[in-house]
Amino acid sequence: MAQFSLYEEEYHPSPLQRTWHEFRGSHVAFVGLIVLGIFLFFSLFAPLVAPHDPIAQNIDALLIPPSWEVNGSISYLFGTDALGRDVFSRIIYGCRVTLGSSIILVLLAMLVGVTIGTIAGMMRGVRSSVINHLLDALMAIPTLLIAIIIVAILGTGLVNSMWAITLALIPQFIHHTRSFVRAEMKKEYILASRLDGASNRQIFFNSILPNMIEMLVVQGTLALSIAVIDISALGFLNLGAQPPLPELGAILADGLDVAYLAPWNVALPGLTIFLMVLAINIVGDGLRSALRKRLSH
Amino acid sequence: MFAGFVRRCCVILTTALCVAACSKSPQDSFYQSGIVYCSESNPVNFNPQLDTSGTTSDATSHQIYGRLLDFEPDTGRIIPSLAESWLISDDGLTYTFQLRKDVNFHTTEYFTPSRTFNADDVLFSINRWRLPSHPYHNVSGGRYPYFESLGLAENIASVSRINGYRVEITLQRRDSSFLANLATDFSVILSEEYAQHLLNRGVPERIDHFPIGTGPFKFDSYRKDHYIRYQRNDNYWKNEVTAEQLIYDITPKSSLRLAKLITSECDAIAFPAQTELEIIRNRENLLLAEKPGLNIGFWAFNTQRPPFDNPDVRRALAFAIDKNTLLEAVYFGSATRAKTLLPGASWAYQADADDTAYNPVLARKLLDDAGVEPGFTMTIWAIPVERAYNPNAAKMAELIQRYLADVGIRATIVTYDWTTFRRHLREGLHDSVLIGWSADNGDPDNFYRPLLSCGAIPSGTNRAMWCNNDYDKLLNQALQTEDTAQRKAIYQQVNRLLYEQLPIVPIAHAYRYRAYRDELEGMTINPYGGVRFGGVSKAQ
Amino acid sequence: MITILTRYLTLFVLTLLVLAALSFSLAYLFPGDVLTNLSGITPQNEIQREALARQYKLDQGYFFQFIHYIGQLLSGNWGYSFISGLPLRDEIGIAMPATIELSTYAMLIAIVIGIPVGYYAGMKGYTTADHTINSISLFSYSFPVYWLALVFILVFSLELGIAPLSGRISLLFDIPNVTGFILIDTLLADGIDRGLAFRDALHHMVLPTLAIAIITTAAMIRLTRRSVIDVLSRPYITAARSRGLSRWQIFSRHILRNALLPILPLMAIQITTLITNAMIVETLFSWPGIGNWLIQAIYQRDYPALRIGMLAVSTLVITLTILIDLFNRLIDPSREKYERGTV
Repeated sequence: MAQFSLYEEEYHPSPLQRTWHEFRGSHVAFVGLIVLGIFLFFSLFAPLVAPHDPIAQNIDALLIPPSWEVNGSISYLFGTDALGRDVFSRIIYGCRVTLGSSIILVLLAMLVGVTIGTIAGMMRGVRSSVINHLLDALMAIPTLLIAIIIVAILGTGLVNSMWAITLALIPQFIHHTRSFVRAEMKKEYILASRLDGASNRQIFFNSILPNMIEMLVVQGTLALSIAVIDISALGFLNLGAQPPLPELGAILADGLDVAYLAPWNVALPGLTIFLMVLAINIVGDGLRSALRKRLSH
Repeated sequence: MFAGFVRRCCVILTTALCVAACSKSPQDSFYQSGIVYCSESNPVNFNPQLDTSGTTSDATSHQIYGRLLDFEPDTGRIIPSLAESWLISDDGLTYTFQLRKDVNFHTTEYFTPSRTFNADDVLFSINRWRLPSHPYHNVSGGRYPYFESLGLAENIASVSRINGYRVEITLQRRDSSFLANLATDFSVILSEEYAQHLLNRGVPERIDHFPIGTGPFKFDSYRKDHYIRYQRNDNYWKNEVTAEQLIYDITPKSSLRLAKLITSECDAIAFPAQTELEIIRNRENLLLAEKPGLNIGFWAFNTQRPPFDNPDVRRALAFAIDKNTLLEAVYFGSATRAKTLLPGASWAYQADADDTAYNPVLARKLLDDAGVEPGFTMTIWAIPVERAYNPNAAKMAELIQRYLADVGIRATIVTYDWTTFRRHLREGLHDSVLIGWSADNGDPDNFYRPLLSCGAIPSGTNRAMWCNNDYDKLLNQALQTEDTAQRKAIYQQVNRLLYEQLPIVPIAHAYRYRAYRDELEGMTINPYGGVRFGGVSKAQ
Repeated sequence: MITILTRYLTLFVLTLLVLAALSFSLAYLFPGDVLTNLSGITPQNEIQREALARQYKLDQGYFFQFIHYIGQLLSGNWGYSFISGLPLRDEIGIAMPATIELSTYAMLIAIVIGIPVGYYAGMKGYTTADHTINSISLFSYSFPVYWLALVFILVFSLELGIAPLSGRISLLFDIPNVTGFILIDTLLADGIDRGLAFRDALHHMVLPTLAIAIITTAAMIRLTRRSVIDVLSRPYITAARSRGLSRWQIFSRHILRNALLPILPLMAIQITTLITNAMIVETLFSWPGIGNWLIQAIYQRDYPALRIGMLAVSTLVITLTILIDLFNRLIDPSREKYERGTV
């Protein structure tokens, strides 16, 4: 006997699918995603993509202009720097260091922030407004300042600058998680699970977390663009990654000494950081408007 | 509608830019009244007796102070300055100086002199570093590195005043480089009256921070990391056309100095980077002065730290690097390869001296024999400032780092800001350091003694912390010898000893450059020592 | 009203106390001698050392040391810079206004341009004009500020030669530091051509101000636009529209004020970004501000300077943030605590 299905005609995409659908509708956002994908590909497969060793110096090829210029050489696509290192390979590896470390630190900040935020949101005792206020006020301290202090205590290095930025990013995750959890806890489906005897833990993992993922993705992209800018800024100021580690900001700072002689050493790493941040921002913007459209329907 | 809006925005922006940008009239005579010199770093204080760093003497020696004698800019001959004439006794031990009259000390907001320059000032200036019992000896630390490294204080038996304008100096031993030492940047003449005035007020240390001298410029104000401001000394004894104001704009980055020279925010810059020389030569309104320099860039090992106390380890490291590559990559052909401490311009230069050659296999073998395992880590300290002898120590350090990696040594590069760097260096915290020396006069003793003699360890110019009695004996023997050929032969023995011991690896002798805008009139480049702005002005 | 004021005052004092405690603990956390980190003086001998230790109450418990530290801060004795040996209060007194000046002009530009453009884009929501403005602002917002400043220097200073690239004013002008704001100080200075000096200062200010302002303006445009679009979707706008009010009437009566309210707290966050950007740009333009000063201090490991510099900058940022928050609370009591926004 044929199965009678009342809902056969209707297709119910999940909320995530609907957001994705909205997102794909925006061409700009989609292009942004592709560009970001390329950067991610570079980061993951840097050794395969890069034609040269990023720290191998070549005395016979100092400051060769990029390949599109008259004196350029095709074997050095983006030219070479003052130590004869291939700029293209350095940028590819730079993506890996900059984007990779940014992603790691955003995930770390997210983990810590969500944990604290959830605890603060679910437990009523921790609602002391003084502490919240204090946290809010303290989170206004600029990342650069936190980084300077951490560098002063622990010394320079990529990992130390990552700690500084993680520390600066945690508060915003706490803040968003706390408000989200608190709003969600007032909703009826949570009350229903509670009546069914679910523990706080179960409520969080089965009901709140799935709903929170979208918020986290949006906040994550936002944090990622800040992280990329900050990590390269610290590298640029020589407070983060140290030479010869190819980090985009540090590469840019290296190029500064020959900025007038070999402008591509400044222009290309800078352009890469810019494109990376732009791609992340476009994707983040696209996600947010997709989310907003879905909710308003 | 939208296009119109954008256009309006653009118009507003451009107008705003233009109001600010197009309003400056660079022809305004005000901008011609002063000279801005972009210097590379902060002076430690304003008394070059206390410091051997070129930055301190550049900012003080020829600007604020005068010396008894000077070097003639073109020939390097010793010429009269505050001393009008001098006599040397037949035994070569007694020097008598006739002093110039009517030389005024600076009148500033903080001091008004009541008398002109005389013998008391010479006595004060020399006795301050010579006599440990002098009331000013211990002011500002009590270290006089240049004089200490030459052992000059011990060699002077007495300094006495014959009359107000005549001074007699007697030596213990003959010293063929004595007059040259009095003409260096460090042998400046301070005001005895000002010192007395400060002592009465109980603030003697001010003498080194608020200087009074006889030079072409008066000190006005100093802000660390920003500027030093000088005013013209209108009572200067020499008749010269000099700009009303002199400003040192402290700009540590060489690329930024060049940029400021191009935008005419600076009229002259210190130490243009070797990579930038072509740009300066090719630009219409910029001039580049160059001279072969009396300097040496080297790689010194801290011989008091194991395993660098072993000459074989030092030899191995010397064999591990390719000096020619360093020359090309760091100096871009503006330097010659150094075999010994002395540059080719010195009369004692030895063309056939032994030199180490690039041989990583031998290097590894020597290291194995000395028991230095692969994976051994060491530090390379790289000076944070550009110097003629090493325009880019960080880059050289990176290159050496790679060479050392090839022989299984992991090197880390260490750098601090200049003041901290030198403090730590003096404390001997380094394994090895890339640094150098610019001579203060043309005498070979000015290279050998400050750089590697035992006496130069406490004064902080012996970066290898190396002390060898044979070496010191040879140097003293050379100073006693008047005959140039004999002296040269002794220095060849010294070179041999250094080649066997290798406390430092000589790398390069660089050319000296100074870049300035073509409006500047009267700029010269000294063969020895620092920059000089007396007699320099801007074309109206 | 009084309760709100008291609450904010308590909050403010508490935050400052926490900051002071942080700054005090830095003296212990930084490498080196605690006494030197606190005072900036390297004792020459044991006797001096003991005298100093007693003066800084290092022989007593942490709590008493901290109390003493607060007293020292309040009385203006902030210690000495390790490297230059100058009193830190004087150094900060020169550096801080320079940064505030730069940030103020950039913020003014951002407000004067960003808010109207944001309103315009919001009113034109989802049209071509809006998309264009939105894209441009997203574009400008993505610039790393140090790179933008570098490009400015390369193009405007070195290629075109229309703007200087370093400092606040040509060093030939000897301007005494009165207010710390160079534009005002040039007008107060004696014995120079004031007009010439003022123009010179303005000329030096263009590039750094623009470099910071572009990014802040972009953020401002996006904030305003979002807020206007949100207000436009409210039911009362639909109601107003159905009553036949013209677009201009709706704009002036309903949107103008209502859209501005939510932006205010978001501006507080922008201030942090703005000051961070200003601090970075200062190092490129050799602007003698607090950012440049702090970066120099870290390069030179000047721990006393870092300890006080951190306190000074965070106090500035937090004072501004709390003031804006308070202002916002006073004009719009209906709001809960300040909300964090996204750009």
